[in-house]
Amino acid sequence: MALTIRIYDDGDGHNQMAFEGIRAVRGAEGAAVYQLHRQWADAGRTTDYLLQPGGSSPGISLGPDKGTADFDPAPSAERPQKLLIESLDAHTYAMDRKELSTSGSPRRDDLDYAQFNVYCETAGTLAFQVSFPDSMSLAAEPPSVQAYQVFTAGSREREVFDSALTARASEGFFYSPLLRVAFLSVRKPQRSAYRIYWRLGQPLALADPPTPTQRALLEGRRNALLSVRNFFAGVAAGPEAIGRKQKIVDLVATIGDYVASLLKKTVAKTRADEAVLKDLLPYVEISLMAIEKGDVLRLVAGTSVADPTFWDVKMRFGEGIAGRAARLLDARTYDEEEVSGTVFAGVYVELEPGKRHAWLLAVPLWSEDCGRAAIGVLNIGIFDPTRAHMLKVLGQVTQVRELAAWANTDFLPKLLDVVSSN
Amino acid sequence: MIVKNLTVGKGLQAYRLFSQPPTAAPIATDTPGLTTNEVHRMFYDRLMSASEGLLSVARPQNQLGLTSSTDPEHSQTV
Repeated sequence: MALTIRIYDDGDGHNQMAFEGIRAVRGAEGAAVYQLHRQWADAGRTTDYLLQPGGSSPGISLGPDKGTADFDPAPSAERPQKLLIESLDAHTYAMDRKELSTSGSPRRDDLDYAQFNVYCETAGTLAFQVSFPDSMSLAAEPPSVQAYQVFTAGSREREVFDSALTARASEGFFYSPLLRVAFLSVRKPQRSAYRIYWRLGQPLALADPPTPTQRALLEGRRNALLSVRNFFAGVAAGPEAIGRKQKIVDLVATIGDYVASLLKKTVAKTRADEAVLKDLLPYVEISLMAIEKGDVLRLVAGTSVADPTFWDVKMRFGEGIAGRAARLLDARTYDEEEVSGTVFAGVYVELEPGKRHAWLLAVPLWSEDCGRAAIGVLNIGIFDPTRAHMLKVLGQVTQVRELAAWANTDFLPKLLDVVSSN
Repeated sequence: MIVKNLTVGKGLQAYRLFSQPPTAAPIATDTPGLTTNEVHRMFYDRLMSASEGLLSVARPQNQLGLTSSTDPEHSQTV
């Protein structure tokens, strides 16, 4: 029985659980149904389990709620089976102690951990490993293991630290600084919980702290961009406000112009290609997001934001595609075709259940005179997968560079000028 | 990882991009069937439509859930 967690520099944890040599599964009423481990995360969110058929025996499927593995036929000593499942903890792990303090995690110190619970499994060996990305700042103190006894009271679980179990577990614990992998091996584990702890260090890229001038500029521009929301939603009344709204919408529409021009010069050079582009443009969705206090992204304008489920959304820094772009000051793409059927589809946050972009590009809006912090995010995407291919051209490095340059040096200053003009 | 990191270069170098003077390409010239005016108008109209959609959600409603008769667009429905 093994759990491997690979942490990526986006803060995602890729979980892979492998069970080898399964000889018996005893579910309720004798059914060969295995209750999969409950997943939880203090920050970010967990995704459903995905079965990896390549590492699983034929006949195994996940239940409708993805919370069980159904074995058909049931495993036996004569025909042992194997099960491989994966999931993603999206935007769960902090890269340094500063990030941990703002991650939404209840922990306020610099210790983070991953946990694996052994419930009713009878296993020869538990192997539990965590690999840390190079971009994670780890303190000099090496990772360690702690073991807990697990008690169930009603529907609640209680974990009580067990020093003797911890001492035994520590004998099978190893950390490789070279590989940045912590590895725990436990022979014949009993009902218990094992935590691999690591202490986070200071941010690796210690940028100069923002100056008072940068802070002031950033706050002013964030507020200005956020005020677009009131104009777009028509909250601001009077002819002056209406005139300004028209100017704002006129400017936001230039995003569409620029997207069309980029596609035209990149991929739509013949009349036939241009016809495809003409067919595509009505399906291209553009939206702008600004930042509220507490590093929360809010939509302020867009082509498909009228639905309250979209308009009222609040997305934290690091969440979803736009949140990642804002957090890292780095353009991000999402390609449903590429990630469909993998745990990485879990990084996308559905603003409306079941509705997903076929392709999405999120470009952070920022200005160096405000320091290294996002003012907002520009999103360009499409829901229709049959028309997405031409738009994906925008995800190429050259096109992202051009689009980001235009958005930050031309579009954003003009928009903020219009919003702020008296 | 499949979700791509699109940083153009690494670290601060990538962000110097934004401190440079505008390097935005000019809008492409018109060609038959796809003029910049048409494109602009289309996005403008779609944005305005979304904005109007938000306004309609915010419109006051009477207790039957129907739009108020003072709203000329919906006066026939009450």
